[in-house]
Amino acid sequence: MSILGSLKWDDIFIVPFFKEPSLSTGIAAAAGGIVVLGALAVLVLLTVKGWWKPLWTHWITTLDHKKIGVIYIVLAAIMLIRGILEAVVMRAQQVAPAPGFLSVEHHAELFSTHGTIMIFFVAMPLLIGLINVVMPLQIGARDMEFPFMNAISLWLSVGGAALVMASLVVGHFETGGWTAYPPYTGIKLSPNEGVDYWIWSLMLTGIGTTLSGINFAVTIYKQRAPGMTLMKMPIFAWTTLCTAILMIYAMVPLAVASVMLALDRHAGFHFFTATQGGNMMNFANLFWLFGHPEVYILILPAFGVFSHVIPTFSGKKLYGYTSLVWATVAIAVLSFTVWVHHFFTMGQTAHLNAIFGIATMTIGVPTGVKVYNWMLTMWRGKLRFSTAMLFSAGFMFTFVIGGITGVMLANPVISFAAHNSLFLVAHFHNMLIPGLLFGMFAGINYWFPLAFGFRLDETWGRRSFWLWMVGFYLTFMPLYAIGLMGAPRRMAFFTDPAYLPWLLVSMVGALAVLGGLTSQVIQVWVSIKNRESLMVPAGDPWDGRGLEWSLGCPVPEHDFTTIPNITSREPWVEAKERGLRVMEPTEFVDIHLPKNTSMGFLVAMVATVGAFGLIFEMWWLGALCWIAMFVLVLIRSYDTDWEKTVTAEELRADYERHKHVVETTPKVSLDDEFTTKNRGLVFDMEKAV
Amino acid sequence: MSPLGPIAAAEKSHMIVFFLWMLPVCLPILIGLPWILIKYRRKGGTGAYHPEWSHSTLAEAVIWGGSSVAVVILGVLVWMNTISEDPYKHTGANPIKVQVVGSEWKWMFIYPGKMASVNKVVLPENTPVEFDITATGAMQSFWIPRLAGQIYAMPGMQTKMNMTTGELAQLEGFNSQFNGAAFPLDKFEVDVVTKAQYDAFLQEPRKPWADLLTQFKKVATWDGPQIFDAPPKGWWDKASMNPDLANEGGAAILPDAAPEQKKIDDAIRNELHISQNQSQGDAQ
Repeated sequence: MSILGSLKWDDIFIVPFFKEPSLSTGIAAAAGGIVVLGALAVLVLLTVKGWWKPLWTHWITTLDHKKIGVIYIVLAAIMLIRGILEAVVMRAQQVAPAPGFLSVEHHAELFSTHGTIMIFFVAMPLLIGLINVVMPLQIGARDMEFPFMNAISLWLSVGGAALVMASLVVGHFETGGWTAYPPYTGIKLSPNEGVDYWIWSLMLTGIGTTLSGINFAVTIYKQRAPGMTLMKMPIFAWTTLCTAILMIYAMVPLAVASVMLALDRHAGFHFFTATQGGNMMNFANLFWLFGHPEVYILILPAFGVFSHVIPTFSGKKLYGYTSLVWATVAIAVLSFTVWVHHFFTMGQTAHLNAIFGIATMTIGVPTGVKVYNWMLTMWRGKLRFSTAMLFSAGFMFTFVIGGITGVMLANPVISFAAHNSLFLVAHFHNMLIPGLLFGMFAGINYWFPLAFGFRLDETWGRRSFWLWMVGFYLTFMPLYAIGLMGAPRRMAFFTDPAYLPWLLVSMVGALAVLGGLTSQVIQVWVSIKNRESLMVPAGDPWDGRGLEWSLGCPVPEHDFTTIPNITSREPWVEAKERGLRVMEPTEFVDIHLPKNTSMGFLVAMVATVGAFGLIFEMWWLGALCWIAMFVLVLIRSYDTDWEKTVTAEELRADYERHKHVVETTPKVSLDDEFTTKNRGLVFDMEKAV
Repeated sequence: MSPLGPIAAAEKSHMIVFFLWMLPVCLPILIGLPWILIKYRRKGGTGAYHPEWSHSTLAEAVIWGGSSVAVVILGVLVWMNTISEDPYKHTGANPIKVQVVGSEWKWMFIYPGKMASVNKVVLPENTPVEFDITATGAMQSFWIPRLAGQIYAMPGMQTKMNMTTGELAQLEGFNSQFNGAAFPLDKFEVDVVTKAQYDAFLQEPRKPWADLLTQFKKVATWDGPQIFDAPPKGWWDKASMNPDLANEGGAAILPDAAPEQKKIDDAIRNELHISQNQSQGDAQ
């Protein structure tokens, strides 16, 4: 066993291309090249601009929940670009004359990384990031309950994503899809490092997510402002709580399944092998015992976002608060009772299938109730079509169509005819693109000023919405059709000429989605360029309703100068109705905030290097990093100088400063909401007495 | 979907029934949402504004009650459908038994005591059939879409799929679960023929069973003779317990094995050539 483990010369990304030049190896080499050049470009940029020090002191070592949230979202954005580019390449592969330009194996790597990235490194960081930025501000907290653990969660997720990116440069990713079912992913049939990349990148981010779940739940239990009972909490906090509980329970089966798979592969165990007592069906059970609650981990926070965006831009109270809370809780509980519907075709008895089919449809009840509640929130309102509102309305319409096909698939007999087909692929994209991405896009457009102090450009935001919306329908409606005609998923090429027209439309759709993504990149670019005119220093740029909008934008590190007393569900609306523009201060006291520390970053980076060692069977490196992590945590544990104090005087000064800004900012009418007149404090002049 | 057998036909009709039952729940949203978006828009909308309105017991009852009723109805349908179309239930008296072994990337069919074939299964028309299914390497999914839905084929496991063949047809069956480099080739012919043709098929000259087994263990994709003697009695049961009997640990299919990869590439090219000729033939 060499010191470099199983690492070979051929694992370097350009070597296969020079050995056997083809379009397929060329694309692999180019993708690896983009990663390497991209990383180099970032290093050069940081050096030329002299940004290393600010990056280190303000971002990498930060324990501020808002900044941690922003880094999560930046991570998700980078990975989203890769995920969408992969999708476009796969669509192009299927319209190219068969057998296309990718080898079957290369195509398999693409759909495996696409799925893994979109779920674990786009969807999860997006929602965890948004929760980090917003949830403490909504419940009147100054930070997460465990800020240091929050940093560890973040950098573990970054480490996991870095491993997936590294697989473009060194070695291969696995080819068994994001679910990685053995025995295909066992050592016999997948002998290279691909499955280990999957196992260890998921392990890192999985631990990070479990810790995030604990952090969110404890923060909500312990850090709510005085008077904010559970039934006075904003819905986003409720959906966060349910998501957090799901994270705590659901990530464990995934960790267990992937450790067992790792033991099978490298330690001669037989958990999931075909012989010697192994049973691959247990992997499917464990995986989906994680995988189904995961679907609701992804979707619940977006439901929370819609429950704030829709009332704000309807100028109206949320319809059916209690109903929404119970629907959320019901979904969270039921999500643990339906996992078998992912493998109705495994040969279990009809009665078992029927019970899981019925349980699956039962989830449709609270979900349907939610959609009706949002619709009734809009009813009798005054609707303003901001980017966030457009994404919310687009979600409602599109999600219902996914709900129809979802209930169809809940019937095991229909599942027999649609499982493993493009119909299924179309269905889950139909749930997750509106149900997760649109929600997160709405949330980011809506809450962006809290983190950065300026609004995002509306013109490019609306363009991005229409491109995403049209792109979604063009891409996935054809896949429903050819799925019903019998087209299996994960197929590198089709020989049936009847599929081609549908695949061409789908290709056009994928390009429109790419256009949507490009518009969002432009949107951010334009907004940064014009940030001076988009600033909303007085806060509350949309006549908002939640506590978070009582703060100035951007929100300072300590969040609240004084923690407000809560007496109702919409304290900020009531304050505004009483003519207040700033929440009345309660008591100014000295507060303690955690000092910045590099330990979270270091622990996670050491863990990442160790995981890389395990992937390439450099066991010594894995062991070394394990010890190093332990030592780092030990050092941190003996650090007594980890707090800094913000004095009552400083807080009072900050309060006065904010009050001054508010008092000197003219009130803005809803008509000027999306213009440069909006410096914060938007008001419905027609309603104001 | 153009089903031929009664099972596939039932699947199609369930799909339509479920789609229709979802409409009462979903149409109010698909129609009501655009209507609300237009009527209550701030600029130019005609709807009255009630900013405090946030609860209606009647609406709650209709929403929770209505969707619950829909799910109860659909739940009863699911229960009945699932039991009546149970793939383990015979679709008629004395079904023809066919044992199946899925492998990378080929399918073995055994007519117990009569014959064995590779990548080809011949069945008489309008006759109940029971497939007993296992696999050797990775997990696969056995699927003949125009006759019935799919069921997993797993090494070390046995599953069953019952169906009744319809009228005369030449169909395609395949594996729908990705299993590596030649996944697009992992399919087989299904010939539904007259009873007389079926009897004649079982009498056709064939090669010895030992030839099949040797070749089946070695090659990744199959070209060559398709009909062989039946294996010794009980062989399939043993193979379903010990997948290595039909595939020595999948050694032939490692993606790194360059010669095998080249053979797979050739097979893909060959397959495409045939299907192109076929579609040109169809066009003429």
